[in-house]
Amino acid sequence: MNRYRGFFVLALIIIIAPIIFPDSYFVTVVGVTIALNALVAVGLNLLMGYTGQISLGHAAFFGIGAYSSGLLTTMFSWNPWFALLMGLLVTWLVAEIIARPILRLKGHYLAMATLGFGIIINILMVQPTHITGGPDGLSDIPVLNILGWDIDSDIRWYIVANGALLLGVWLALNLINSRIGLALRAVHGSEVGAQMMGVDIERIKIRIFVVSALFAAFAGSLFAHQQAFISPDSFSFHFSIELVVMVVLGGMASNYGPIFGAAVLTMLPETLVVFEDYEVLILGAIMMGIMIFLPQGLWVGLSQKIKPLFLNKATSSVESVGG
Amino acid sequence: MDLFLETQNLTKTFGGVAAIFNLSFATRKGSVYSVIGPNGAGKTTLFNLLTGIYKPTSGAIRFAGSSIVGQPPHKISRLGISRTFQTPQIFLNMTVLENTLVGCHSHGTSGFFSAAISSPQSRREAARLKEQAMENLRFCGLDHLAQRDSDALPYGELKRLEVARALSTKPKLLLMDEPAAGLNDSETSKMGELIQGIQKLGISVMLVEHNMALVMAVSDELLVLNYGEYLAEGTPEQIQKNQKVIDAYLGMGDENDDLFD
Ligand SMILES: Nc1ncnc2c1ncn2[C@@H]1O[C@H](COP(=O)(O)OP(=O)(O)OP(=O)(O)O)[C@@H](O)[C@H]1O
Ligand SMILES: [Mg+2]
Repeated sequence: MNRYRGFFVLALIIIIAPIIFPDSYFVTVVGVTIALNALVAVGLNLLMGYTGQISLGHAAFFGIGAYSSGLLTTMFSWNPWFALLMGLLVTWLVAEIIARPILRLKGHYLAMATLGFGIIINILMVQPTHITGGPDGLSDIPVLNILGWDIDSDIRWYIVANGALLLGVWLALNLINSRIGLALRAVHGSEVGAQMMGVDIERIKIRIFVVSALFAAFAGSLFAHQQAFISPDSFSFHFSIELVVMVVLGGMASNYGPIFGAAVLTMLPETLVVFEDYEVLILGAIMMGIMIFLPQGLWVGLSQKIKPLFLNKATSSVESVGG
Repeated sequence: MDLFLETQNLTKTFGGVAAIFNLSFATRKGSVYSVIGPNGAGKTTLFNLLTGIYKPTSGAIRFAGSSIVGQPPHKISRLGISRTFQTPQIFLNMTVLENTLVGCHSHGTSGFFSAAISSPQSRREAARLKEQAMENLRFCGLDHLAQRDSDALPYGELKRLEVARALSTKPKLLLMDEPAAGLNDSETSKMGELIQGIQKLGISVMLVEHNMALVMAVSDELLVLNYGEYLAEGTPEQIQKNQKVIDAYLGMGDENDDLFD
């Protein structure tokens, strides 16, 4: 089916990459980080790109997932899967509670409020030292076990993280191409228009906020097990900003843009280390350049430029990338 | 007489200034009921009150026998009142068909979960709603543009798309705020036919419009507003002869001079 074409291409890339480059650090190690970041970015894009609501606090949900898994498995010896489920449940609850007042706000005010929320959650990770380990974090988080397989090698993590990403993308694709997805995009297009078409905009905004938080929490739980160690640094305001950058840089018009953005933003610092002190400077310049020359993001921008090379007729339409 | 939408002593003030003041009127089921008045008379404000976008400062609104004051817009939409907007509120991030599909929103039931797993039930429903949306596009003469991005649509088609989208909610009453504004003569007459076609479907229409030729041609009854207040009510013939209306319009700018063409 047409809607899944991009999905199969993505799956193919994910499968082929480690076969061609089995020993590449970029594939098997960075590839896991990319997949987890991309999973969060795809969820965030449902909120930002499709519904038009910004969140500068999504690192908090990633962190709630990670800390739920970390705490419950280390302190209470829970089965990691129950811990993961509990993480999702807690995230659902937290997201639902804060979404109600926060999503009445718009634009800059919403940005500020979500930012504040993220900072509060981050402080809650640092302060109760006796529970969370404070700034030192939690260590010795046990390995994840799937049907008797310990997920304890790079390649196994590659499979699990990318499997989770594919699951997330599949869900996001279905959602966006549904009645619900249309209503979400309608909220972005015109709130008053959407309301008059019978969309309960307040409720649907809360719902999608929760869904995008669940994407982040799921990735966070996997992250905790993969790292075996977590500390509040990974879930700071800084990471929230990075997530937004991934979404915007890759492009919000499709589900694949944020994946592309996550890949670029995760790999660039790794490649730019050769520039040592100038690394961040160059990264900033690249980001500015992309936004100036490809304002719709890398995904749409590049596919618009590349497509005519593949099609004999130079069609610059972007219809097939929306999805 | 079959009263359909009625207001009693409806008042809306903005910072002490009344945009609608003590307004009472009633429309009949199946009619085209037009609201006219000079710029700033409060016509759009009235629509915003009727659709729940504004809450009245005081007064009552009854639709098909029950009060709708205090209901949010999406509930009012589900009760059977839909509208088009003076400034089009088309979802410019979507195609023509997708816009119309959003109008079908309340006629579907599949939620987040069944949508995310693309359940057979949600897919069947999507196909059914697409049929409905296409039918409304056809009715408004837009079916050939279904896959077009709505931001690439000429203004005349955009105005008709607003109508197609509103019809997809299956309204009992359709409020149209200046559907012919910005249209050329042939587009305006097409819009007039469309309004009559909607009435033939059994849908009641409330029309706000400055183009008096159009208003007089399609209306069963008219309400004239002046500075937010009731000035007159009657058939097109009665209104054209009404001395109060003539006086009110004579003092106005060029735009309203065509009342008696
Ligand atoms: N949200 C608001 N806040 C303050 N004043 C408002 C608001 N909405 C409308 N008004 C005022 O109410 C009055 C009526 O405006 P309204 O838009 O209803 O007029 P209208 O009859 O639709 O005019 P037009 O023919 O130009 O569309 C105007 O004086 C306007 O400034
Ligand atoms: Mg108006």
